[in-house]
Amino acid sequence: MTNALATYSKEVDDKLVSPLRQVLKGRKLVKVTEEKGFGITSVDWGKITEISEGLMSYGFIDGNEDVIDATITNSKVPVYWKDYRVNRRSFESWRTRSIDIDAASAIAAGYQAAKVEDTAIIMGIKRDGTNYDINGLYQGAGNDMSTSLGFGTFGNPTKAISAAYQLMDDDGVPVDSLSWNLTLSSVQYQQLLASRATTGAREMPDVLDMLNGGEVFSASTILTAGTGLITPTEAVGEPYVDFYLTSDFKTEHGVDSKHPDTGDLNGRVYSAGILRIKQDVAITKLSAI
Amino acid sequence: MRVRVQVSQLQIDLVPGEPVTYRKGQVFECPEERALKLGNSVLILPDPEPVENPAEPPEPEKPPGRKRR
Repeated sequence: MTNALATYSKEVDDKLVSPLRQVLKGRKLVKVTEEKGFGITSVDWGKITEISEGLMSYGFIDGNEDVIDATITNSKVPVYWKDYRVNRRSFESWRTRSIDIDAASAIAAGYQAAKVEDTAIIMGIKRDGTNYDINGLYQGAGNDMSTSLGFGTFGNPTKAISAAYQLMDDDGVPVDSLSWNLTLSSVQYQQLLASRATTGAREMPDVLDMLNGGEVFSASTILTAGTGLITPTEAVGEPYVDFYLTSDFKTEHGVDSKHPDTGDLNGRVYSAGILRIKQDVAITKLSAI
Repeated sequence: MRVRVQVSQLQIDLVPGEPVTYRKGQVFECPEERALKLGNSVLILPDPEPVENPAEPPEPEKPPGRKRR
């Protein structure tokens, strides 16, 4: 029975991973580390608080050391999960007659767990429902562009991106050398999609050109209406932010000991990891669009 | 209300069309509605405590008189 449950979980995992990869937004925004193992419950990491300027001379000089100021942070690694039930007769059909697994409940639960992980990456984690224990990209942004530039007006999206770039440039981020992602609430995403000049020209191609190889994402309802954020793409963003993954999405299944032969299966889908913002000045939130 | 900037830089247009950039630690006056939307980018500062006896304004300081020789 134990082997059957393990095999069942493995087959559900195979069906689950591909659909989840399609919907996971957070992992498209940041570099995801290799899976480190579910047993890792906390991680020490360096957050760069200040970088002094580089030096120039006609020769190297002794006694002129420059130190990057970094604070060591210890973060607990949260788990993102959702429980579900599998009809026992469906499980038995798969076991005895190899009928194709109906993974609908696992996939539905997986979507819910994925949404929690996306929220953790994009906004942050608040256990009490009010205060953020761990900041996501929006809450942890080092710059805030709060100039009123409603995306419903043609030209405002490109102005907002330009103003955000200026803030990061002033902080020493090599804006023109990096590619960027623009993540918007669903309202602003739809406004950008529909944005047209009086000549009929679309604004989206200009925005994508400014992003220098990055993409525009809709964070659906994770970001509140009127907000967005600009982050370096996962290809170039690792020095600034990453997602320390300890467990990729998996499922487990078990039975209640009260009814070992007839009871429904208890299923759980879970992942674990934490966002690490190493240089917050490379993230700009747009809070008045 | 008075707010203190918590992020590296905050650009805001309290007067439409006139964005101003504030740096971390700077304090400025901001309407409550905008301040609340800024979230953790700013720290809302408590109102300054009122002076205990504001009825009598302090006398203006007299300029020092010329010393006679």
